Amino acid sequence: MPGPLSAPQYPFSAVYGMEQVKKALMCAMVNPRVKTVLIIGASGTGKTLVARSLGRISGKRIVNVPLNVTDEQLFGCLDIEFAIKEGKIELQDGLLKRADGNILYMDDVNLFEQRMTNGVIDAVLTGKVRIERENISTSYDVDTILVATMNVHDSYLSPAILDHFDICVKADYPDDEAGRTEILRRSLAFDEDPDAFAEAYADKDAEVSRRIADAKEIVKSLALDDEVLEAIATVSGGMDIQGSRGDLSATNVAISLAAIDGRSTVSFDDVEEASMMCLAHRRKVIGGRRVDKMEKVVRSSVGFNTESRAIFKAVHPSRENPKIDDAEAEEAPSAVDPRAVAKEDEGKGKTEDVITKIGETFETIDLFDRESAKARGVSRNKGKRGMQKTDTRTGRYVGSRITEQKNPDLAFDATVRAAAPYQLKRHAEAETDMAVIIEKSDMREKIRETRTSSTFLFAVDTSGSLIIRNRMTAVKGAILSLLKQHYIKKDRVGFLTFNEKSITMLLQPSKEVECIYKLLDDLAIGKRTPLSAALQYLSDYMSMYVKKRPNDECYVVLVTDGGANIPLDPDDTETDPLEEALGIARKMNVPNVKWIVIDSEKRYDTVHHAKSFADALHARYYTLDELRIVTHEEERLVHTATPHIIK
Amino acid sequence: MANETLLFPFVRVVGQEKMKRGLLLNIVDPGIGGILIKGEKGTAKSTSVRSLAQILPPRTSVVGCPFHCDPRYPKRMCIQCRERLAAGEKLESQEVPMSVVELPLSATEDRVSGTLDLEHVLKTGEKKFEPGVLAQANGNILYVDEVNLLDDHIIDLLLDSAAMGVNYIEREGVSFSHPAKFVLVGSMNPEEGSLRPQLLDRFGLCVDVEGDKDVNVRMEVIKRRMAFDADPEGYIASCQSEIDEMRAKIIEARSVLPKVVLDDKIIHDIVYTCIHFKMEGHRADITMMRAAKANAALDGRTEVTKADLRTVAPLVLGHRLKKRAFEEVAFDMKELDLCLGL
Repeated sequence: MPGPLSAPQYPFSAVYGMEQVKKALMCAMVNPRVKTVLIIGASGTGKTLVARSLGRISGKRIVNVPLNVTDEQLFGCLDIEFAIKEGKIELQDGLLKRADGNILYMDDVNLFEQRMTNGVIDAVLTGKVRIERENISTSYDVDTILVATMNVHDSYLSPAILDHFDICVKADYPDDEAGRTEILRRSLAFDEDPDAFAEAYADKDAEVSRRIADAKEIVKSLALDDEVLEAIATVSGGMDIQGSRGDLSATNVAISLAAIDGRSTVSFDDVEEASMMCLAHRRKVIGGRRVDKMEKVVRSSVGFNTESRAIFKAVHPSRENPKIDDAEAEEAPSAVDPRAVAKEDEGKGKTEDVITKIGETFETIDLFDRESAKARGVSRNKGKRGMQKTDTRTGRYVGSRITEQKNPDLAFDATVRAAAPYQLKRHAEAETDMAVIIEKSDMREKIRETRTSSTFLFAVDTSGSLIIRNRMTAVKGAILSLLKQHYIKKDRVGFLTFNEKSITMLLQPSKEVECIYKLLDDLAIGKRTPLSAALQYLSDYMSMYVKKRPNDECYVVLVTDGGANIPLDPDDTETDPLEEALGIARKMNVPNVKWIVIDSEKRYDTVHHAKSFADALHARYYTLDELRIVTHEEERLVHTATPHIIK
Repeated sequence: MANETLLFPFVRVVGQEKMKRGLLLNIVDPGIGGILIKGEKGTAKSTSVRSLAQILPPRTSVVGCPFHCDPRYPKRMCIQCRERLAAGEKLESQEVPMSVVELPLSATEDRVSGTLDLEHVLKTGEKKFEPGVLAQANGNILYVDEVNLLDDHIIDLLLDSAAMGVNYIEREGVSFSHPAKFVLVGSMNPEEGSLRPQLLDRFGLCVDVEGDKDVNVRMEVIKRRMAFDADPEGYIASCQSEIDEMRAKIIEARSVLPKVVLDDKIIHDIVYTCIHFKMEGHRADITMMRAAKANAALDGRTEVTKADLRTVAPLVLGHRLKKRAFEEVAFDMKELDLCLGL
């Protein structure tokens, strides 16, 4: 019988570049204890190509897990035909069973529902699938490896899942002309005649297969000495890796690397390479300060000697004068932009629009509050961003449950399965020409899941107290950086500014984030801060808004220095505007709205009014710098530095 | 079919040359990876795509196969056809016109990918797969109007199938896979929200269409439409020869395509251009190569020239340009000319 349909396969050895990815995949083939590999890369870099080409060299089948898989199908479910005809309960093999002895492949693993990903990974790592559903209680063994891919720009994968991947490698695409030309040529040749192309690489593929077979033998007898273990422990300790899963993976991968090389002793180079493959994705992310913290740990625990500093410099010359210092220098009162001050002086007594530039943008942390999402029970999949079980009949069908409803969103397959075992009995009792008799108790409804949006309303203080310290530029940069994040994740974003002249809703919460760029570009600035009025307005607006969109996660991001200086009634000279605003903040009570305060103030010596507001609003509080997340350069820096430290 | 004949003829759409070219390229080589048409309302987006049906070349398919398998490529046939072949049966084939299959916005996932045949289960107690839109689309054009408003998970599904040429179904007790090679054509009005950048990259080509500002052109549009509305059959009949000519041109291009060669100079130009425009990954390079070949074939040439690159590059690169934080980046033809040494 012909096998399932498969797309033509590209030869493994014809994949240009991606040495690390190829090596990672070979490790998984060689060592039965390396079971899960994640490939991360930009779109179009050949992640899928290389993963699929594994079939050729391993002689195993690639079992694809489609994005819209249901859990019955994944783990196995009741065999309907058998149950109806024989009245007996029998398991119909799931996808995982078919992957036994083969390779399981998940494309875009981050787009799967977390429950599915967890299930698959658990089955792969434990080698066992346990089923407790639909009158079936059974388990079966699965021996397979999991290869998953994920787009680097796409949404997020939870640290717990990441930790379960033995190896995580980046599919770096060659950016030089020679490399790209070669890739294009090969692609051209493959398109023209896939079979001839495969033939041309058959020898090389056979060579890879042979190396894998040899390495498998070596792995069986390879012994580790304590020195290697110590090196691994030192690196992972230095990188502040939680748990020992990373250490174990690194050890197994180091063994595999040595074996692939035909050696029966593990070298430090193997450890270095293995640490990069196994540990980088397991580092903790704390706020936005991941790398800074890590650097410190590495320095203190392993000793940050002059040699590694030299490496630092070589890799990243600009680090000698870290940008932060520049920025700080700029912010110092002595370095205030004279033009801004001049404008301010000019503007005394009258108001004038001042337009500032947009500052540099950077990678930001995600303001979405995972912890609170979990607490609210919005999504049962551990606060995974943007996923929510829905009651409407849209969204992806992910599972089924017993229903009480009169007119349910019927999960037909599950309903028939529930009814199946009783068919012989029911047919004996009733006369009908239908093959399947379904009763009310069999009804199952669909559990659907849809990606929901979160709403972020930015309320930005555009008062003069900000420009005097030339902060508006930095504030704009920060806002834009945050927006970039939301744009990618398709959140709803609104934008409100306030200054003495008006409180303006520049953009009602919408998905048209791109408009904000233009709005930000010509943001007019006033002089004084009517914080009380702004808070009042926000309270009213958000109360209405949450009624309109009850399913949304709503956040108000208040960007201010907290220097309230206009009371609710501008002519009222009695009330202290700051106290009044704080009072309003304390009384603020809009259900389902979370507050975030971003302090646009920079100097550390002054009183943090914004912090007081954050406390009053029970808001999370960030300074502009805390929003910043490590850049890839910084990340790579540490990658390069760490292995050298242990030598 | 009666409906098709009443569509405004593709050959009479005024202007919008880039869009028309992009659509034709995809028909000549479905491997280009589809096209996304972005534009304001009323710019003949849907009209052009729907009326493609008139000029589409015929294709061979196995009689009675729900997936319209092509008997010439046994490896890519669905499981039933391959089983029939294995059993020594001779597959009867027929010539059918390629068609435009439309995916409504309200489509649910089970209808898109296919699902369990309800009636069959209830009547016989046996499972049977009921093919969905993707099965219909195999070998055809799949058109999604307002693609930006489609549910995210359905877009993911479409692009996945389009890229692999296979639709895998693992749901509702059905485990099945069938060929789903189709040209994905999406249209959208950018005013109503945008598409995630990762999804943009998966469309082979992308064009921006604008309504023409020229009075004469606008008048011509009105005149033709009025004439069509007054007498659709007559109007189509009046340009039947042009329609046939266009179809013949496509058929010719398809037969020329395998003979089109690229010399090293052109490959170099493609790579150089892609590097210059900072293309991530290799999809742009490969798409540009395919599109350039198709473009040459469409003109009846067997050699790709710089002019071909100049025509297709904006379609390939425009939507893949890296945007820095929300800036609108327009594709710069001057820069392209510099890259190509023109």
